[in-house]
Amino acid sequence: MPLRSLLESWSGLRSVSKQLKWLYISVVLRRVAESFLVVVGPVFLFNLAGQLPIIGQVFQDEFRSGLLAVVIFYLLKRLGVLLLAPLVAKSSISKNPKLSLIIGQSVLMLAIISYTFIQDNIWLFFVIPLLSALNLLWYWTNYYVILASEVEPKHIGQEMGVLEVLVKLMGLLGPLLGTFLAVSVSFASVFWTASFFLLLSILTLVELPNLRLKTVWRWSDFKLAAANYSASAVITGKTWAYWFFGQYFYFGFSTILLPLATFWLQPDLYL
Amino acid sequence: MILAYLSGLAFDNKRQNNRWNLNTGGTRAILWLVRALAWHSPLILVAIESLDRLVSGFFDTTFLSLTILRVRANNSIIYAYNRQIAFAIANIIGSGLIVLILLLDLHLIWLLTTFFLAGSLTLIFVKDQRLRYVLAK
Repeated sequence: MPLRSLLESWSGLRSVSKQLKWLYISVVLRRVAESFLVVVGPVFLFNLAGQLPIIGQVFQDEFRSGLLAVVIFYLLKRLGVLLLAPLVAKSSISKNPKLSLIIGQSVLMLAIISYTFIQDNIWLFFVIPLLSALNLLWYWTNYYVILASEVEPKHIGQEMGVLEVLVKLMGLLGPLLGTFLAVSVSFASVFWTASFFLLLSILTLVELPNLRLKTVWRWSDFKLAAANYSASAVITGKTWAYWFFGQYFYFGFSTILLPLATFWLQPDLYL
Repeated sequence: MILAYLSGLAFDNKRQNNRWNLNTGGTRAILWLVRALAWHSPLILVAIESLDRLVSGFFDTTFLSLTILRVRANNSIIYAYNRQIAFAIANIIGSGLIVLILLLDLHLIWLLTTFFLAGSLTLIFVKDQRLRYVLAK
């Protein structure tokens, strides 16, 4: 108990409301699940390129075909966000943040489980991005809304700092364990493990209080935010580097080793 | 991780002066350029990755804190949706660039260079953010 008090006092989590604590636990578990797929997911998609209609036949060499498959997959996911945003925003589910979070997380779990069936049902390659898009819209929008409504503005930096530390800490071993499982057991084992963590994440969301929101969707409101965010969002393109190097790298340590391993394994690629 | 926490403390205590924290986004962009240029030097790459970890410690926490404050200040779920849509557009542009590089058979270093160009734009857009979303202490 003293240790817990010390930790809460030091981290500033003492002032965090109960519902936010459950939300934090949920998002950390979600990040653990995602960290399992950071390397494995794109590598899996990369290897799938040969089976894909049209996409797999654009380039002769395996590397470019694989990279194109990965890019198209994530492109479809983001296009899905654009297409589905008005529908999701106007749906009755979106007026209940707790329900939206749970459904959003469940949809992601369904998407990850679908990975295990994709080789026999290649059409899932085009469905999973849409499920992921629904997850982005239902989960993350309501995550920020709840955070914004519940967080104490005076301590927001400290709280987000602690959250970032937890997320980074929990996400450290995920890529390593994920790739280890993929190599030593199977890709499916990674997807089921990630799904398990997502299930835990969903269960923690049950503790959240019920909030009701009035949602009004207007495209005109989008202009300002888009202008502010679109450029800064591109920096998340860093993720492309993981995908880019993933095909050679089965140890999943960190980006420090990714370029090195890639260069030493395939120097011709860059010459 | 330590820097992520400390930058959060700094955000709370010096909310009027968070430009430096936000400009670490621009630093990350420059690091992409260095990556592209120093591709054949493993030692430099290690140094860059280490530096990137340090800088991202500042950037991630500040960016997240500001996002929450913006959603709160706007008091609307619309802003949260807009954020997702803006991310989608950004990623579609990024994906389009990569497809273009693949189709034109350009050198793969162009990928890293596009990250630099995209990241550099953050410098333009984050410049005035601190003034618009400051909350009274």
